[in-house]
Amino acid sequence: MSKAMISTKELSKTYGRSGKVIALDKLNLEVYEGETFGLLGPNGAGKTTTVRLLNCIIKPTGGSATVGGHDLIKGSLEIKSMTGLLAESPGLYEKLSAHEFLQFMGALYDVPDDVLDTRTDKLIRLFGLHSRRNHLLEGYSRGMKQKVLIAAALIHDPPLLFFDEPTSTLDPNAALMVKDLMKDLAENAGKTIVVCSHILPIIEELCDRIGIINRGKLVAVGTIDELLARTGKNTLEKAYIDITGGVQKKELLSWRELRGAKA
Amino acid sequence: MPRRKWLVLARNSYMLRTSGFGRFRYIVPLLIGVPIVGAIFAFVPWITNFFLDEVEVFFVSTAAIALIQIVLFTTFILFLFFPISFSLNSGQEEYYEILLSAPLRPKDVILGKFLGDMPFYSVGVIAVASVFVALMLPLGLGVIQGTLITLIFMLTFFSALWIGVVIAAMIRSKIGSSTRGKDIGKALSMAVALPMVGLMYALMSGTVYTALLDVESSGPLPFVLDLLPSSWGANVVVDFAVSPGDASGISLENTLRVGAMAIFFVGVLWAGTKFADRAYNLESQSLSSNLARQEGVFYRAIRAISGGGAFGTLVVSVFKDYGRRLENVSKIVYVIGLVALVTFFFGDAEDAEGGIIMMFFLLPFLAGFIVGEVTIRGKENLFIYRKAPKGELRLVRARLVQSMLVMVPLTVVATAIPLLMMSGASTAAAYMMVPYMIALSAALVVFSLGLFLMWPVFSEKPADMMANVMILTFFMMGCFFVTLFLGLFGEVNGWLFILTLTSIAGAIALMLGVRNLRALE
Ligand SMILES: Nc1ncnc2c1ncn2[C@@H]1O[C@H](COP(=O)(O)OP(=O)(O)O)[C@@H](O)[C@H]1O
Ligand SMILES: [Mg+2]
Repeated sequence: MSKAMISTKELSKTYGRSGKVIALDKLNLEVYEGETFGLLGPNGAGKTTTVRLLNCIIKPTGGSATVGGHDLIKGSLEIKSMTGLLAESPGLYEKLSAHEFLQFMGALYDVPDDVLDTRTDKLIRLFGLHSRRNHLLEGYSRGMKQKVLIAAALIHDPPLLFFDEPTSTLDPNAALMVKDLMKDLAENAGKTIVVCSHILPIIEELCDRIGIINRGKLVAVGTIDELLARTGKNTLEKAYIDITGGVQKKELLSWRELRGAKA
Repeated sequence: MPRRKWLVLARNSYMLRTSGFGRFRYIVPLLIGVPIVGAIFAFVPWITNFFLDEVEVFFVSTAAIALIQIVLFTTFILFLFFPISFSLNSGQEEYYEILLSAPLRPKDVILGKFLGDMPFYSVGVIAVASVFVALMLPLGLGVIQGTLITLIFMLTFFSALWIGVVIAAMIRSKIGSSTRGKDIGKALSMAVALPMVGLMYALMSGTVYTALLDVESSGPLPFVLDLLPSSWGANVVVDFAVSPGDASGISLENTLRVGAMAIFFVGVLWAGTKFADRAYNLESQSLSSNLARQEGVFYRAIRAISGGGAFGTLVVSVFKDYGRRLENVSKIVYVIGLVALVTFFFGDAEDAEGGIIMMFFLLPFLAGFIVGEVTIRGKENLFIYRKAPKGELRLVRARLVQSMLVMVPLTVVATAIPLLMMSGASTAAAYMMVPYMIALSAALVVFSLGLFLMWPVFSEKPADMMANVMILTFFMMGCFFVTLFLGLFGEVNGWLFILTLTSIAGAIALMLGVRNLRALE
């Protein structure tokens, strides 16, 4: 087994004065160098919280972790430099063009000027934004913005990448492109990737291992085959529902009964 | 039977506004209006009685018509511009989208909102009218006359309000609900405020009043005013004052005038709904997406000033995001325009100190407007910096440099205006104020940045920004009064005292602000 890129011990995060909202509850997780790890879980499970913690954007309220061998608290500077993040609901500067925004992001990560220029240009071409590169981002569609943000996450070519719901706003073509890109980054560029997604086929195809998180707790972790074996199901979807619990079918239309719906 | 949609919407709009009043909501306008009008009728006639002779003399003079014309005209303009400015500033598209996705016509939406707000505006209008009626009661004004005067005020102002509402809707549909459209709207809302303020100042300083009294030499102004519907009523009001009493005072001419006003109002209302239906739709032509222009001398200079390299790119980036928002540019024009107006109308040619004092109250606004941008793009935007190594420090430094680069030239301009306009200021000491104000504005930028990081404002609503601006303003006022109290005002020690205090407060605020920025989640 290769070396751990991410290793957390009892990593926890609570929100609110008295720690009422337990967003992440004693997470113990290892992500190995070079693997693609999928983080699954219902809305509000704590995926984004985990990603933010591991990128040193928020501070843990308990436990510890290392990322790339650096301690989460003491080594935050090194960690921030070696990770790239596509945030779930990222902020950007709407009044900058795609080109300007990537230059800005490059500057934030101290990418040398000559490298930055060629890299910006290549990324813009890769995402098919070349003809619009000088348009302000305010006029971009959500999917186009998402492409710019993915490019921005790659601008300093970090060895560890986090993608929080990368394809949820993309059209099928673009989603496919991003999926292939992630695959390429893992297979041919040796990147370690952590991806949060609800789109199970993508997780299934990309991820070496997955972890399922529910109400702040990691409830299952392993390869897809291991999860299927554990639950005795034959698809990832069924296994996922089995682990996290779904809505009973007969309840789905219960809201209509009171009004005496006939049709 | 299809419900009258505008009536439904009017009700909805009214309910929204009164939601805080619980079961009293239906009588809110009465609750506000009755005490006000009652108080006016209790006190004003009592005061008039003391000056009855003067009041009578006043109403037979030409000054009366002029004054009432001005009052009606000012309020007319205010009522016209208020909805324009307000509606352009607040982007309500999401709300309208819900409404217009229902089977409604634009006319219903606009008319509904107008009627829903009418009870509240009525309170204001009736209060203004009551002042005049109460003022004239001791002259022997009749009940019908009083009612007619109130009616005149209402017709005048509601015509104005409705025109304003329709114009606002039309501008909105022209500029669209795109990001860029919103941007233009915000800029326009500031831009239309400036002439309004100018008008107010002109009235307050008496320039217009003098012009109206002096009919021969004042050119076209009185003539133009006479053409406006707001002035038709002024004649009636004055006529009533000259010949009070229902039996004798109501002439055919005056009846016609009031009738004409009523027709004007109905006509405006009708034309407005026609316009609204045609002009206002949601599929507003979206403006072509904007290109980022090639970096010119300006941004290259800024890059150079901030030392080039990665930091230069950061400063240029935040500067571009700031400068490309028309709204920011118009805020600056507004503040500088304000300085010019105040100096022009109230400036005392001998007294440069007055202009300098004004700066104490202006710089906080300027600093707040400029620095407030730092958190306005939301938490997610701050997280970009949080993610980057040493990102928080980079953000603070880039913002400081960018804000100074905007603030310093503006401070020079704003200080120079009173200095140049006032002859009494052409001393070396007065010109020393320029570097002083630059230092003070720099300290205020630091202070302001600290405040906005301590209490971040994540929305573009001007009201939310005001809290921090108010803190700055009160701080400056405090400094000002302490110096006055210590007897240091106008002396070098006093100036230095203020500067030192502001710098210290700024440094502390910035320290706390950065700490909060690091802990934000
Ligand atoms: N800034 C915050 N303040 C308070 N609670 C938060 C904050 N961010 C997240 N939470 C809470 O933490 C929990 C986990 O959220 P999150 O990590 O965003 O879930 P996911 O990404 O899996 O959908 C949720 O209950 C959410 O309400
Ligand atoms: Mg999430």
